[in-house]
Amino acid sequence: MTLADFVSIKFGSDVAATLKKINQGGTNNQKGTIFENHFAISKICEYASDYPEDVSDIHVTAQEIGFVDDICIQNTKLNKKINYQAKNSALGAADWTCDTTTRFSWQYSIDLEFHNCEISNQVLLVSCEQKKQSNDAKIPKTLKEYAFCEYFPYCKNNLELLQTYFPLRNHLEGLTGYKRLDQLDYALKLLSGVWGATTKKRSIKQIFDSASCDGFPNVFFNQTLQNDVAPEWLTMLIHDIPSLHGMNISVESMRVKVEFNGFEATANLVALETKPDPGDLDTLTTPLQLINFVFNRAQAELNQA
Amino acid sequence: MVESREFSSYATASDKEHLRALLNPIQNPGRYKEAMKVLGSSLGEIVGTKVPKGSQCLVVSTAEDADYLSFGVIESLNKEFKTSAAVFWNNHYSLLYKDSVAPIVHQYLQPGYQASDVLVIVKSVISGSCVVRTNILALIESVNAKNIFIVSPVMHSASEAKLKEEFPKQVSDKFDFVYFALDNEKDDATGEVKPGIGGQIYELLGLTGQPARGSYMPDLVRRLAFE
Repeated sequence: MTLADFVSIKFGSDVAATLKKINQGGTNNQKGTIFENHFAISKICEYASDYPEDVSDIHVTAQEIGFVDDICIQNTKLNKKINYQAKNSALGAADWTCDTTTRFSWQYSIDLEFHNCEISNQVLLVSCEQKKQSNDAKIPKTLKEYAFCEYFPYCKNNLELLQTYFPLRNHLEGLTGYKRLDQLDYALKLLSGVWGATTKKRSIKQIFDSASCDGFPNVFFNQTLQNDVAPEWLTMLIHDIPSLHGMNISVESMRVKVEFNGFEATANLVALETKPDPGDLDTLTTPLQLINFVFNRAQAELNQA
Repeated sequence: MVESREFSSYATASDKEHLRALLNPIQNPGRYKEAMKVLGSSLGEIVGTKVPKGSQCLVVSTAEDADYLSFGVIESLNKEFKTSAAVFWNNHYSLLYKDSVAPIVHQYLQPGYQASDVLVIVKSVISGSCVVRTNILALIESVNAKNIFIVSPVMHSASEAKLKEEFPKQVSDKFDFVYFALDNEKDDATGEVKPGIGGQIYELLGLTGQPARGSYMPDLVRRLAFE
C-alpha cells in the first residue's frame, strides 16, 4: 500500500488529492529554485567573461525587496539595473499578465526614482521558447523600452546545464582554462555553493573570490594574472637531464602539469616556483622522482581542504 | 550490525566471507588488502560475463584502490579482454554547505585508453556519488563507452538511484551496477556506509590519508608508466 492509498482510505480521496498537490507544490518550488540558480550562475559567468574589468562594479542578488525580485543585476559603474522574475513553466503561470505589467512598471519607477538608476530593465524569464514568443506579443507598447521576456532552459542538474547550455560551458572554459567535463563540473559546483550560501548582494568579483577560496585546487584565476610559463628551473632540469627527456611540462590555469607516458601530475604554479636546494635537485634524475617531487609540492594546497 | 545489509545475487559464500574479513581488519592492512584483491577478482569475473565479446575495457580506479580491488578486477578481465587502466588521485572534501567535491589532481591514463568501449568504474565502497561521478565525467567525452559498469563490494542502498539521477538518461541507461552487498545505514556526520568496509579505506590499507594529499604511487601505475 502506498502512502497515497493509506491517506485515501484513512481520510478520504479529497485529502489524498490535497496531499498530492502539496507534494507537487514542493517539487515545483524546488525546480523553480534550480532554474533561478542556474540562470544566476550563467549570468555571473557571462559577465565575468565578457566584462572582466567590471567584475567589482556588477552586483548580483536574489530575492531583494521589490516587485521584480528573483534575480537582480546592478552595474554601479553604468548605473544600470536589470531585474528578473523567473517562471519555470510552459503553462499559464509563465504568461505575461496584467499583474506582470503592473509590477514591472512599479519596479521601473522604484529603480529610477528610489535607487536613482539611469537605466532599468525588467525581464520575465521563462523556460519555454514558445512561451517567450507569445509573451513578447503581450508586452504593452508603453513598457517595450524597458520590459522584456527572455528564455533560459530548465535543466534538472548542473551536468545537464553544462551539456545543454553551451554559453555557460564556453564561459567556464574561458574562466578556468579547462575543457574537461569533470573540471568544468567542479568549477560549477564551487560557484553554485557560493551562490547558494546567501541571498545577500555581492559583486561578481566577491563571488569568484569566494569560489577560489573554496577550491582545492583553485580553478578560478584573474585572467590578467594568467601566467603560462613553467618555472625556469624545471624547464632547464628536463632539458639538461637526458633521462627526463620524455617528460613534458605545460601550464594550465596557473597549474604546472608534468606529463610522462600517460601520467599527469599537477601542482600550483606558485608551489613549484621555488627551485629545490642543490642536494634535492640532484635527486631528481628519473621521471618517477620528478613526479614524486610534484606530488610533494602539491600537498600544501590540497591539505587546506 | 550486519542486519541492515542485503546481499546481491552475485555474492557467493566465499565473497561474503571476504566481506566479513573487511569488517575485522584489526590493524592488519595485509589481510585487508588481500581480501580486497580477492573481492576485485570475483567482481571482475562477474563483469567479464556481461561484457560483449571483443570489447576493450578501461578499468577506472582511485589511487587507493588501484593495487587491491582494481588490481583484482583487471586481473580477471585481462584473461578475456584487452584491458587498460585509468587511475585518478581525487581530492575529496566537503564544501561549507552540504555538497562535496572530488576534483582530480593527478592521473594516469594508460596510452591507448581512448579505444576502450567499456568503462569499468571501480570503488571500494560507494556511499555518495561524488568520486564515481567525477571519474565518469573525466572520461565520457573521450571514451565512446557502450557499457558503463559500476563495481564495488559494498554500496549504500540509495547510491544507485542517486548516481543515475545525476546523469542524463542516455548515459545512465548504460550503467550496470555490480556489487555484493547493499547497506542501508550511513553515518550522518561522515557519510560513511555502515558496516560498509569497516571504516575509512585509507587507514585500513595502511595509508596515511588520501593519496592526493600525500605521495602515494600505486605499484600498478609504477609498473605501467615508469618501468
